[in-house]
Amino acid sequence: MTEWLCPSATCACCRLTECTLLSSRRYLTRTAGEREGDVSSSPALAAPWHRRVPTAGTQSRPSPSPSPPTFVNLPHDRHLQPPGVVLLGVEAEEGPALLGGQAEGGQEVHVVDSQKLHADLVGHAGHLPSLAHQQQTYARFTGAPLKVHRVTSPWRSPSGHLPALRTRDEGIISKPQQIITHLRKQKYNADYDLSATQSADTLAFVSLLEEKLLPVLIHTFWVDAKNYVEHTRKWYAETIPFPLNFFLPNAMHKRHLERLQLIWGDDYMEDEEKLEKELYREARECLTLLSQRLGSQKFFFGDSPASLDALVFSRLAPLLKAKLPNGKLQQHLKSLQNLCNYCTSILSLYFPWDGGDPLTGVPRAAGTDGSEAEEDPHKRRKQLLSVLVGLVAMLGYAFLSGIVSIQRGSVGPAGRQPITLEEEEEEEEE
Amino acid sequence: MSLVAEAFVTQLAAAEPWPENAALYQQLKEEQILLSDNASSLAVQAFLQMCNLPVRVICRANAEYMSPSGKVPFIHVGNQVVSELGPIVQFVKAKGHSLSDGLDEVQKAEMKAYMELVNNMLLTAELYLQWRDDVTVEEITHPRYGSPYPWPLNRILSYQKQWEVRRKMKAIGWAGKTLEQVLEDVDQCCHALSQRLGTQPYFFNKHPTELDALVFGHLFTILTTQLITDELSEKVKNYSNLTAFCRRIEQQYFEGHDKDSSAIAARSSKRPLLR
Repeated sequence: MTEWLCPSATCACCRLTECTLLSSRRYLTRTAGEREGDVSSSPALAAPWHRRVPTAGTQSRPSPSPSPPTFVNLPHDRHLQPPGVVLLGVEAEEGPALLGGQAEGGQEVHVVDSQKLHADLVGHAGHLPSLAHQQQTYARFTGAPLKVHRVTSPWRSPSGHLPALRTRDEGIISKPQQIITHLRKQKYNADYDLSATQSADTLAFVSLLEEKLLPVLIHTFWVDAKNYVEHTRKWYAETIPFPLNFFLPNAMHKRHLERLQLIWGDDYMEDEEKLEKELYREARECLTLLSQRLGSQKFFFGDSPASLDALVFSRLAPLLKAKLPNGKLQQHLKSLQNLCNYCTSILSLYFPWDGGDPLTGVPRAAGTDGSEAEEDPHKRRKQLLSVLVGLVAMLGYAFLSGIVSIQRGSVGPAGRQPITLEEEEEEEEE
Repeated sequence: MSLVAEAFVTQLAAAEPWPENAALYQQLKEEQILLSDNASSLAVQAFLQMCNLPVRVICRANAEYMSPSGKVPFIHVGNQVVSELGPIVQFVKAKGHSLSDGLDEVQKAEMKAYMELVNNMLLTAELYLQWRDDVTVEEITHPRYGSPYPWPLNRILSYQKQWEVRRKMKAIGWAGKTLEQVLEDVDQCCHALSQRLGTQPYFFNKHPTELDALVFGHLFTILTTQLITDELSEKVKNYSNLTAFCRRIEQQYFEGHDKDSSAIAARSSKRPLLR
């Protein structure tokens, strides 16, 4: 059983960095022939990776009965149903034997993705940097069967961090790079077809992205005052459940700010002009380089997606789709036509049911069951919460008036005490 | 260097030719300079050699504080001071010397990407080794870094720098890494470089680019510097085409040309870190 949990809050941009970096480095060490499992069994995914599945060992696939995909949306998540992009959705794969011998047929893989945050980020109020979903994109590319649960609160993730992947044999994995490594171990490897030089290129471009683009993306979404107040914070405040939404966005904002200060030094953060000229220019240059490298190809390495595509897409899609009030970088991306087309085509190929049309395909239909199942505990929690709030209010009132009389009593001169006590008695009688 | 200054410099630079008395500043070769600084310095020297621009290497104990960006090396050309490889490449380009003009757009993109790879992995690994590996810090880094200063100051400056570097490591997620993981990263980086280089003389065929200069600077320094253990250089030595590449560039650009400048700087860097 593999489930993917992604607690939005913690998996924010910062963690991504490390994750993606590390994870992509690992790809270089992949060995040939490691992808023997049948990965292509999902009917929902009629996409290029089918070609890459080695035919050997395919016959061993058992029962065709699809395990019901779990697509868990939180209730309010529904109306947020993104007109734009939701990067995370459910993979409606059937279970059987997809996990290379992890168990006998009918294996269910869940991805719980609390990435939701990131996900709907993308969908709803504009699209945030859903940095966490690189792993998911990766999983889609490889055709790994995942169930995505959307979780709004990091508290609901088994590990306390999002994203997280729940697997049967290894327990819960929450470090992004480990998730990709895990998927690779399970024979879902997007880089299987790359030559050694291409793997080397992957590593190089990952470094380029991490160094030049990522910090500026974080700045765009989290530090730029206008974008943060009008877009990012708003979105997070609406998405994160009640008690957390007051302090979580601010905590994340602070963390990102500190991180950038460390990377760039204080003078950049203070000097708006310098920042714009130097760092944003570098980021724009980085986008241009990516666009040049991509050229007219469908993916970075020809016709099939690889881990680099997962990374690039996960970084660019939010930037492309978000409605940022201050979109300097966005403008530049939009002017690079081939990168825009690239993002759009990946979205339509690999995340078709996340797009605007809610009626697309099995996953969504199946998703409703899942969401109802998930809805219940949430409802109960809400009921409980409102009862609690009511109780606290009543108790508070009672206590407050009680305190008033007590204070008068204790603070006042000793002679008055008897009177106070009388008052209290009166109240009790009432 | 600051952006405004950069724009200004680029305009000015185009007008003036490369002067004879251009100078490159770095820390004292023998007793002060550290692995990462030496690598960066050597990369710039190699780059200027490849452009066929003469430069005199000047060693100053306070080079770090003289540099406009706080990083060595920096060059002093005419009226201008430019630090670090990236800006220097731009500066030299404004003067009409460029190594990467012959490349097409895709190659330029790849070149930039590989340069980031080297900065991201090799440079960070060097910094990790010299500021986070406890034995190296005690035995090599602190004594060397503080060598020009009297007692209380040398400790204070070393710890200040160490703290700064460690905070940066934390920000980029390297703080939790073990030495093994770092070496593994270096190995992957070298593997990628080796794959890319293949059997070509330079990364982009027959002509050197700034990428070649950068890779040479780092690999040569790693190969020739004696640290506490030679795990780092062993990783590089596993790739014969990379070592051959270093030897080739050394012979071509450092031995034939003026001996007093870079070759000596490069070679003598063996001894400095030797303990």
